Amino acid sequence: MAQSAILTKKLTKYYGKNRGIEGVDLDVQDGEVFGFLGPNGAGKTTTIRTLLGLIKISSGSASIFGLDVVKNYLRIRERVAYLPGELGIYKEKSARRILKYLFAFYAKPIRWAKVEEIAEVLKLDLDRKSGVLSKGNKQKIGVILALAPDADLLILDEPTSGLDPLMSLEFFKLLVEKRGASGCTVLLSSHQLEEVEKVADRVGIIRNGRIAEIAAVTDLKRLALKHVELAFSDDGQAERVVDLVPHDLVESISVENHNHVHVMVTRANLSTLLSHLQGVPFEDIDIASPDLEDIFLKYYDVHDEPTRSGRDKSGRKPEMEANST
Amino acid sequence: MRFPQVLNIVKEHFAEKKWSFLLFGCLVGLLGYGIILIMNQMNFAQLSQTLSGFPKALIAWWGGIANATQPYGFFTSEVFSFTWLYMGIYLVYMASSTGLPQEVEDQTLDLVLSKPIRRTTYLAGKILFLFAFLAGTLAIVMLIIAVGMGTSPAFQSYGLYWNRLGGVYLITLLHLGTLITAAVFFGTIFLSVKRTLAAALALMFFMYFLGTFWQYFPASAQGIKYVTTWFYYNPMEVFGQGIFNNLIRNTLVLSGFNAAFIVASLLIFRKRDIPV
Repeated sequence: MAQSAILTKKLTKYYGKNRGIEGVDLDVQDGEVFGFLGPNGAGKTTTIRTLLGLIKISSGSASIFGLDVVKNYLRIRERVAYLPGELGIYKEKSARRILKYLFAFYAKPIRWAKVEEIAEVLKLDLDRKSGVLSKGNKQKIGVILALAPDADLLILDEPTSGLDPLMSLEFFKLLVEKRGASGCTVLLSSHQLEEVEKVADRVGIIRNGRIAEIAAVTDLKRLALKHVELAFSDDGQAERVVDLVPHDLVESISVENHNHVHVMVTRANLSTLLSHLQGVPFEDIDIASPDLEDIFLKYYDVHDEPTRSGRDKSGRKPEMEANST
Repeated sequence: MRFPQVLNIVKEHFAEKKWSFLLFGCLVGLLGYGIILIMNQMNFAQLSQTLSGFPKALIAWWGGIANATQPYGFFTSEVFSFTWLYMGIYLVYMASSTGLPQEVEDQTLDLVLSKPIRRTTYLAGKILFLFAFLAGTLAIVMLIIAVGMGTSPAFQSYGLYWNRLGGVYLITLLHLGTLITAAVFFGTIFLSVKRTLAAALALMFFMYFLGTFWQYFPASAQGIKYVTTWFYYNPMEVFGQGIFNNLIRNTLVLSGFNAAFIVASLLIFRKRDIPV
C-alpha cells in the first residue's frame, strides 16, 4: 500500500467564530496528482495554509510524508514547493532577484539552469521589474517558484489563475513533465473541474469547509456538465423545445421569459441532445461549462448532505425543472 | 536559527535600501556639518550674555547657559537632542514598511514562510537589517560630524574629545533602536502598516513628552520618568559635558528595552496566523 503524502484527520480551523474548515479528512497518496476542487471560499486555501503551518490548526491533525505539520514544519518545507492562490510579488525586484532570494532559503541549492529553462518556456523576462509585469506574467514567477525546486510535493493553489489559455497549456505540460521525471506528489487546488480532470488521478471536493466527496476522476465525469442556452425570437418556441427533448437525456431543463431555454446535460449526452435539436429554429445557441457552484447546487442539497451520483435520497434522478420564469 | 538565512534577508534588504541608506546618512550628517559651520561664525561669550536675559525655565530646558554656550553643548542641543526627530520618524516608517505589515499587505509573507525558514529566523533577519541600517546610517552621520569637528576652529579651541562622539553614538544607536523595535513589536500585533506607524509614532511622542517634561509633574508622579527611554538618553551629559557616569546604566537599560521588544515580537509572531 502506498504511503500517504498528505494525511489529515478531522482537520479544523476556525477564525474566531467563523468557520474556515471543519473535520477535513484527506489521504493523498505518494506520487498521485490529487485535485482539490471547490468553489471560491469553500476552504481550499485554508486547508493548504494549515498544511504549510501558515495558520494554526484549531483541532484535528495533519501530516505530510508522515511528519506532523506543526512539529516538523521545517523538514516538510524542504520537500514542498508551494504556489499561493493570492500571489504577492515584490514589486521593486526583478523576477530573477525574487527567485534568487526565495530559493536561497532551501538548504539544497536550486538548479538555476532549470529556472532559465522554465522561464524560456513561459516566455518570462527574468530581468524586468515585477511591478510592471501583467498579472499573467507575475503568475509565471509563481509557477517557476513551484516547479523549479526538486520538491517531493507540489502544492498548487489555483496555479493557472491569470494565465492565458496557451500558457495554461504550457503549465500543464511542464507539470506533467515534472511529475514524469520526479514522480512527485501534486495537490492541485482549483475551482474548475475541467482544469483538474486533465491531470488528476483523484479529486476531493470541498464545500462550505467540509469534504463533500472524494473520488477517482473517472467517477466524477458525471459532474462534467454542460450548460446549453437556446434563444428564440418567437414566444412559445421555448416551451415546444421542452416537450421535444427526452427528459431522461438531460439533468435539468427550464424556460426563461418564454424565449430562452436552459439545459444542463452531461458531456456524454451533449451530442445526442444536439441531434434532437436539429431543425429547431433557435436564434442563438451558447454552450458553456457551468460554475462549480452550480454543479454543486445540482448534486448536493443545500443542507450540505451529499447525495450520490446526482440522484436524490430515494435514488431517483432529480425532478425535471420545466418552470417558466 | 540558520545564520545564512538571516544574512540572506539582511543582504536582500540592503540591496533594496542602499540608496536611502547613503542618502539619509549623508543628509543628517550634512545637517550636523552645517550646524558646525554656523557655530564657527558664532561668538559664544556674546551668546552667553544674550541668553542670560531669557526666561530661566527655557534656558534650563535647553540645558543651561553653560551647556548652550560651548561648542559641544550647543551642538548637542541643536543636533543630538533631536536625532529622534530627524531620524526617528523615518526609521519608524522604515521599520513598518520593510517589516511584517508591508509583507502582509503585499501578500509576500506566504512566499517566504512557505520556505524552510523559522518565523523567528525570518523576523530576526528583519530586525538585524534594521539595526544594521541604523548603525550604518548613524556611522555616516558621525563620520561627517567628526570631519566637521576636526576642521572646526570652535571645537579645536575647546578641545577635540572623540570619546564623547563614541559615547553619543552608542546611546543614540540604542535609543533609536528602541523606536525601531517598538515599531516591529506593533507590527507583529497589528500586521498593518498604517496602524503600526500610528501606534509607534504615538508611543514615540508620548515617551518624548514624559522624558522631557517629567520635572513639571507632581512629585508623586515623577517616578514615571523611569519607564521612558528618553530618561536614559542624555546626549547633553555624554557629548555636551563629557560626563560618562550614567553611560553604562543607560546603555544597559536601553539594551533591555530593545531586548524586551524583540523577544515580545518574536513570541507574538510565532503564534500568529498569517492573514491572506
